[in-house]
Amino acid sequence: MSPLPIHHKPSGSDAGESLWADVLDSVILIVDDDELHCQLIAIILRQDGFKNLHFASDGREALQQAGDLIPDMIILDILMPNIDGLEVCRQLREMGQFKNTPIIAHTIKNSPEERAEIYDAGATDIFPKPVSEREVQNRVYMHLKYTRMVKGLTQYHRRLTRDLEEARSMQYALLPALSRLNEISESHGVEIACHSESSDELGGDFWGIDTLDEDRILIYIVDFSGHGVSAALNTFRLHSLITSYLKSEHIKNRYLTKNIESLNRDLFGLLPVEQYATLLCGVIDVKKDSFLYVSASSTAPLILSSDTGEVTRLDPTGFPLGMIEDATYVEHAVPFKKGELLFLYSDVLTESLDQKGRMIGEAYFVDICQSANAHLAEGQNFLDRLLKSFDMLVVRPLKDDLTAATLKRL
Amino acid sequence: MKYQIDITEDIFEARLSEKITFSDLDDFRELVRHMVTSRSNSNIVDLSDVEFIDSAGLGMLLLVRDEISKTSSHLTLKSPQGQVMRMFTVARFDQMFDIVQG
Repeated sequence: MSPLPIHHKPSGSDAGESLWADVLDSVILIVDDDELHCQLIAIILRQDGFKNLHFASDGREALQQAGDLIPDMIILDILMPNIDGLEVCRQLREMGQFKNTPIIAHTIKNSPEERAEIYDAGATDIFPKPVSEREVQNRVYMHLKYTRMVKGLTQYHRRLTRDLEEARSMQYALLPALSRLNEISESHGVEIACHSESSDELGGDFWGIDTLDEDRILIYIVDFSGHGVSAALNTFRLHSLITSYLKSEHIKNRYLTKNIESLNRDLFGLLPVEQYATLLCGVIDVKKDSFLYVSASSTAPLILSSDTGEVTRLDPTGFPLGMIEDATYVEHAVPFKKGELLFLYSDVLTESLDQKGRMIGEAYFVDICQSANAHLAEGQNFLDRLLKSFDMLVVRPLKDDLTAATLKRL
Repeated sequence: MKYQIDITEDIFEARLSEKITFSDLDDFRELVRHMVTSRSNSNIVDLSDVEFIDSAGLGMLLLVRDEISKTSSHLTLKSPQGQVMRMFTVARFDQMFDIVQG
């Protein structure tokens, strides 16, 4: 028998064509104790091009066939010997693998109460007997298409989640290794602490640290505008750029601004108009007791003194990276003595909302830092203390990645 | 973010309010389209009622700047307040935009 023209077949797109072909491959189990009814439905479905049709003549056989075939759809008579359709429906729904399978009751039971009972048992839809050809064709197609689409979306969602998790762990891999931090602490007489926490979305934060020579340490923190995949991809771009600049002689020869200006030019060429990065890059000199830094619109770095309890906010003004092609930057030099702690952090610390829905803001954040610094218990780390205060203040989940690093001169 | 558009004579004025953040990107692109198609000589983005802008929000203003720079018209950012003004200062927006108060 040649197939009839298919009135509801989607047209005009390859996706539609392939979905249709996919739907026709569906395994359909038709259950009825009256073989004539089974054959009627089968004839209608074969006309549409369905080939994978299977049959069962009572409830017990239906459950067994379902378990063997794992059908994509079950068309189920209700009044049957042994186990009736309602019970079959209930049992199938209790098995995890049939949780979302379309089950269509094919029945003469058609009163509102009976229909309600059928839906309560877990049926997706009802075909009233006697059978209507067009109705069967349209609804079978609709249900199969719908379940395919949901399945597709679920798979897509699962894949995306897995990819994002992988990307997140790759971002973590950009962060300094603990062993390296220990080496730097040892060789330069400093104590380094850091904390990284990712939000639901991929963010664009990272920080890094390395030694330039026996007296100097280079430290930086970056935050890309925006979130998500593009920000995350850009963090990798910037990270590789920064690493290559770190190896350049310019940095070693104390031309911090020149390096940032080249970095800015490189990024300007790479990034779309609305994207940019903020950066704080500085050099700690333990011999000269100084901190030399360049800011590209970073959060304000803080220097906290453990002796006086004083907090100094450093000026973060400067063009963000990648915004203006020939931006120039200013180098600031501030004293950074033994006993002082340098604090770099991402903007989520100042831009999060407190329990009452108010933004923390920079001024209040500096107060929190001051208080955390003043109330340090013996041996307690400033960053731990601060993050505890922050945790008590904010409502989670955080809207952006949290990156924070401290470096204390011993 | 919410916005309201007023077009009078040759002036396109968009009054933004509430917060401008990452989630407003689509609305913002639409606003830019309106602005460009209106072909007004003078374009004003009134920020006096904006209470907060994040880094993505600043990026959107750069998008406006870029689109308007392709035409022969002018762009003004009007009355940034509080946190918005502070963000502008740190990012040196005064060097990139015509910013007026009042």
